[in-house]
Amino acid sequence: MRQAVFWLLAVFVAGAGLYQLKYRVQTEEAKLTALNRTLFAEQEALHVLAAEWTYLNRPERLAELNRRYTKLKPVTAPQMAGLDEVPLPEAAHARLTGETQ
Amino acid sequence: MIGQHQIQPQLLRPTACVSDADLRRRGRKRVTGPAKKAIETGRTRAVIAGVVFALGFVAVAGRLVDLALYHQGSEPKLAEALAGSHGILAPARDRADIVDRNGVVLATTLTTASLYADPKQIINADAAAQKLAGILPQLDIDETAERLKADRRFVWLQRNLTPRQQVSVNRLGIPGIHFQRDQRRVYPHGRLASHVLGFAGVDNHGLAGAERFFDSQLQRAEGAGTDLQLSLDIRAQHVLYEELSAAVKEQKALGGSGLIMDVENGEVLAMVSLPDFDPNRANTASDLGLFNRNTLGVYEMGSTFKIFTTAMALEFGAADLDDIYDVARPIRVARHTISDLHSSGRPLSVSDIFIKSSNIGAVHLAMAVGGAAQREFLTRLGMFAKPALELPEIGFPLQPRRWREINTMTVAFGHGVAVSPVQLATAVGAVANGGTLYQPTVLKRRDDEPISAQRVLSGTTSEKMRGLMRQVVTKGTGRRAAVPGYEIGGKTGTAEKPGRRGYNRRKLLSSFVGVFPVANPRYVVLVLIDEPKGVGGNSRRATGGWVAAPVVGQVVRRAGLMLGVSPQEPPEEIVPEAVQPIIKVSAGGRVFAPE
Repeated sequence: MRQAVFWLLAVFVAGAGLYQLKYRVQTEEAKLTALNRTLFAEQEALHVLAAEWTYLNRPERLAELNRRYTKLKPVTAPQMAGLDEVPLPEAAHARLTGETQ
Repeated sequence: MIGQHQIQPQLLRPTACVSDADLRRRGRKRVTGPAKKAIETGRTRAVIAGVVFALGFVAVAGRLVDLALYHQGSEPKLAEALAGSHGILAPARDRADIVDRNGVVLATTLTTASLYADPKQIINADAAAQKLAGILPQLDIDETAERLKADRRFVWLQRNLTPRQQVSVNRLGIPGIHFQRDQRRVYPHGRLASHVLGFAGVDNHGLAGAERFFDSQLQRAEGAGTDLQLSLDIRAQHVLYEELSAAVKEQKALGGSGLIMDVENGEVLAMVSLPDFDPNRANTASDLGLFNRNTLGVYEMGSTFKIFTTAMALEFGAADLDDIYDVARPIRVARHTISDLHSSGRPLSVSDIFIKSSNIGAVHLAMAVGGAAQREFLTRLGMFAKPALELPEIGFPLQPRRWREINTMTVAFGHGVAVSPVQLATAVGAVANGGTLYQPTVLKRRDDEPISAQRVLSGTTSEKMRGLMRQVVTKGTGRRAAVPGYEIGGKTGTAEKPGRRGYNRRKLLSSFVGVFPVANPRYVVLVLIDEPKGVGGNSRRATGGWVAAPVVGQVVRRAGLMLGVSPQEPPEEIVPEAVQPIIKVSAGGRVFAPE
């Protein structure tokens, strides 16, 4: 008799536990789905923004903006020089080029 | 529910056991005869029923274990499918992006909203149409109102709204107006790389260019990291586009084409063909705009072919740089006469023949080598085969059916054989880079990728050719290509376009092919202008040296640093203008120079 009561109780406890677990899992799953949906939307927004960023960075548009708002001119080849042509203290030069003399 | 099932067997079994034991105990003592038989029957039935129930519960328990331990059940499976390969839900896109060599997006697929209506739910169709037309300018008010009154449950109003339009329409709050998710191919750079990219139709299938060539690859692609990376550099593309369109506009030319190619691996860094089209509105493009001159067009190139004639003579030992040829007298063969624009009246060395672009000299060089060797050499340079470029629009080169002496002569200065600009650039790259031919490609090559290369020329010949090409720019026909900072070498070309009755001296195809830096070439730049009207409207200034060479110079000046070429010392002083010959073949097939 005692044994039967014990098993009966065990069955009730296990049943209640399972019930709880199931509902918890359902709640978590709902959360996951919501999160996934948010992620999805965010990724799609990111994608749109990346396309817009590219659109706004068209070389043509940048050139026009530069012409309108700055006085910058394109770098020309004669303005470029190698590091060894820059008059630097020897120590600094060695540090920059990674050479040891 | 599962809990209840579990409980039942536990409840039943003890009850059944008790009654069974009672029966057995009592039965043995009291019952005999027919009554005993009846009890035996009942007992057997009870045992059978018990076994059946037990088996049923075992099955339920087994299924429970199976579900709990071995299978994840239907719900987790669904979640897994949603989660994608990286555990994160990735927006499903029909088509992978196309990016340039630096990862700049050239073509992408955006999710858009398309607007549709359920006319049954529309209360006031006219008012709704009025409101919608205020946001969507493409909508015709009357037509929309008509559609909204239709006796159907579904009518499209407009496909692919911008996000802003979608928000505005939503804010109107008209009942019966709904959005449908849709996808649209977008080219943020518009016309800039139209011919390389091509375009995809409304159903997201590639219909031209790389979109078509790589269609299946683009459609298969899933998730991130599967972008198609082209060899284009959008900045260099922009420079070439600007310079070429400026020249085409100034020259009131029919069109033009230009390309920049890496001589060390055949990568196409920039490719422009004018007129062009906007891939975002490809349905409005004209046939002329869709035509890719760089790959689909084949042209008689004119004097740029002298690069190959001279290289061939040097390579086969038929002539050396200092050998002297008499170029004073025009060459007559059959009914044709070949002469130079400005006959110098004195014998020229092989160097001078190249630098001054003498047709007569080129013919002498070709004849010294011979027709068979010439044909073999040009075949080696890929002039008679379709180039292996990954675009669907590839033109097949044209060559004479029978290679006669006259063909050997005209091909020496680039007439009688038609090739596409991409073929010319590939071959010039091979002549300049030390003698290795790399197949052209629009894909960025990976560092570890083995590149199919073919030796077509000796290093010595290549070095001599670089020297000659440099002199064309310092003191020859290509002086206008010279820019500070970079040493450019190259060759001008001015071909008369074949018309219905022989060649037309008024309709030129003026070109310049340059390599830089000439001492150790990295890139070849080719520019062709179709029917230029001449600098300042002067038709005598419509030659390759006048109209195409400056474009190449400007492209190198502006794009050199972008392409990672360190500038050199300023170039030597520029010498006065030299002669630029023009070929003319009259109706009778006579070839002679104009006045």
